[in-house]
Amino acid sequence: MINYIIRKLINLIPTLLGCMIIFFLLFNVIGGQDKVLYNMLSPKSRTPQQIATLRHQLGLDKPLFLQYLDYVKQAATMDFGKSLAKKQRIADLIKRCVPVSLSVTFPPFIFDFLISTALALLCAFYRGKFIDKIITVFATIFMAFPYLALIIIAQSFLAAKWRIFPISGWGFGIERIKYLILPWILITFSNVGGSVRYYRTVFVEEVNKDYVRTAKAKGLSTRKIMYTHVFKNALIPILTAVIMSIPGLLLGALLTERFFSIPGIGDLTVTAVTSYDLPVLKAMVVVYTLFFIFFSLITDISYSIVDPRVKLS
Amino acid sequence: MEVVKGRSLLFDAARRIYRNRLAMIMFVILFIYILMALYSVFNIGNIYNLATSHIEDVNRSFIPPFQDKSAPFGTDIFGRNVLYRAVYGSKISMYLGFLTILIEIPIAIIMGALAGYYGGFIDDAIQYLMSIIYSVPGLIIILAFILLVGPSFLTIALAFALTGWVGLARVIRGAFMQAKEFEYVLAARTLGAKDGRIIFKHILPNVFHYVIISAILTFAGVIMSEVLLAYLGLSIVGVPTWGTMIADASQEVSAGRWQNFIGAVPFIWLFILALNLIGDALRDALDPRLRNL
Repeated sequence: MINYIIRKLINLIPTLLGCMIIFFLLFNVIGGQDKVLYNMLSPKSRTPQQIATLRHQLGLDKPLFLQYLDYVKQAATMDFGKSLAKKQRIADLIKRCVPVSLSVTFPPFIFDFLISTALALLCAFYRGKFIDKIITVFATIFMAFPYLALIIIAQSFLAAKWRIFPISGWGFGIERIKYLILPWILITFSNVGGSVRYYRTVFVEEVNKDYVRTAKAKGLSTRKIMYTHVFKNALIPILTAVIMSIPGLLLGALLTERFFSIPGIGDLTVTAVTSYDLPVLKAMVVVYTLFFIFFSLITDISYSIVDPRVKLS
Repeated sequence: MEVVKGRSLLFDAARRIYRNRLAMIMFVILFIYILMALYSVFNIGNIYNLATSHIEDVNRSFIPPFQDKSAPFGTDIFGRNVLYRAVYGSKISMYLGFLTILIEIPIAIIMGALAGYYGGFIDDAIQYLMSIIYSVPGLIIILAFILLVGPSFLTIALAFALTGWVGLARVIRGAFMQAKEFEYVLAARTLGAKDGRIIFKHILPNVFHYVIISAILTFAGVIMSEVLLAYLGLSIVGVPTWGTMIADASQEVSAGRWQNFIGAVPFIWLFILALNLIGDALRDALDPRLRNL
């Protein structure tokens, strides 16, 4: 197991380097540095001298290969310098934004998992019957509804008209929950449709396997078959889906954060994209990729715990 | 002696879909969308002009929905009929969806087939590429790409296709790895079939249901993501898209202007719903393992 983890961690390096190359190519070959530099500066200071200074400051006047090495060095030390738009150290920005984003996305992630599992089990239990059909239909209808439209409806009715929730904002400590409840509900709603459908497929596929028939033949109750046998086996594909969605939690809910003015990572990313904040984007790519690879490693390890047939070697 | 005629997979699938009433309704809806798109493509009744040109009359601005017969969903700030804009939006969505599929599916098929069929070094190289693209934060790359190159049909489609092909390619790779061990492939090779023929004529038809379903889901995904792009100001400029309309609505509803919302949301919603349900029906019809569910 330890060997496996170490080997996986070593494998992580080329993947990360590759991701950085993609981002690097995007900005240096496709986009053209000039456009980036031009847009980074405020309209008043777009003189050739200013552009040259900024280019030197960011190390973009070096040969491409050396620039890439700089990027690698930054990734290794996790020191990406300062954000151009926010004039703060990027490491601090990220440290501050990640917990905020997690507070937005983590509770809905749990709600989504619990609600979807319960509904999907219900569907698999009564499959083909009325209750299964009605849940599937509603899940499909919800899944097709654009998230932005959902936010618009909720904000204008629940928040603006009926004043059940504050429209948007952010506070300190426990006060934050007041602002978070509506985003939690919305994110859960927007995710449950897709999850229920996916979990249901997994459960139904499992229910049709031979061992279920055997269990039935030896006289086990349907309830027992569902909860002890089917649920455990279906957990494996579900686990993958769930764990692999965790990096997305850290990246935050982009639209939600923008709409409810929550200062999380999603908001930071969008601001960085639209203000051509190259250093922040460079950092985001590395941080996100690291999280992603880390959690795919966790998935592999959890397989070996849940499924005795999987050996890590 | 009576000869029982075998049914082809395609015929069988068509028969099952034909029996599935919900799927048939969704196909009719999809057909209506295609008609609307064609209506806009051929610019019948000068719909392009009606959907885009500003009307220099303050009284025509923000006519509320369900009041004026000529504009059932009302008009937007420039006095443009929201219904025409939504109809025109179906053309834009079709273009975007098809363009993305046209770029993404061939990449996925070729990469998946090469990796799965040949194995060895080619497989390693493609797997490495796939693991990179899979781990890179797709959304950041998509946003950055569109921002740098400028929004157009091609850039948006390219951005989604280049970050999105990995899922399907992995499925195809797995299927090819299994399929190349089967007897029918050995038989084809014994008869002297070349690799290209085995890949495209023999193995690919067996995994093609994955391709169709993935294409439909990609189509739906791109249209949904266009809303996000529009909200960030990165969607196609100058033409009415559903995303742009919803993004406009997000600024307008606080002032009680629901026209854009009422125009665009039912259109995009019903379209995505139809695509999802058709995807489901095709999966059930084409995958023989799911026959008796």
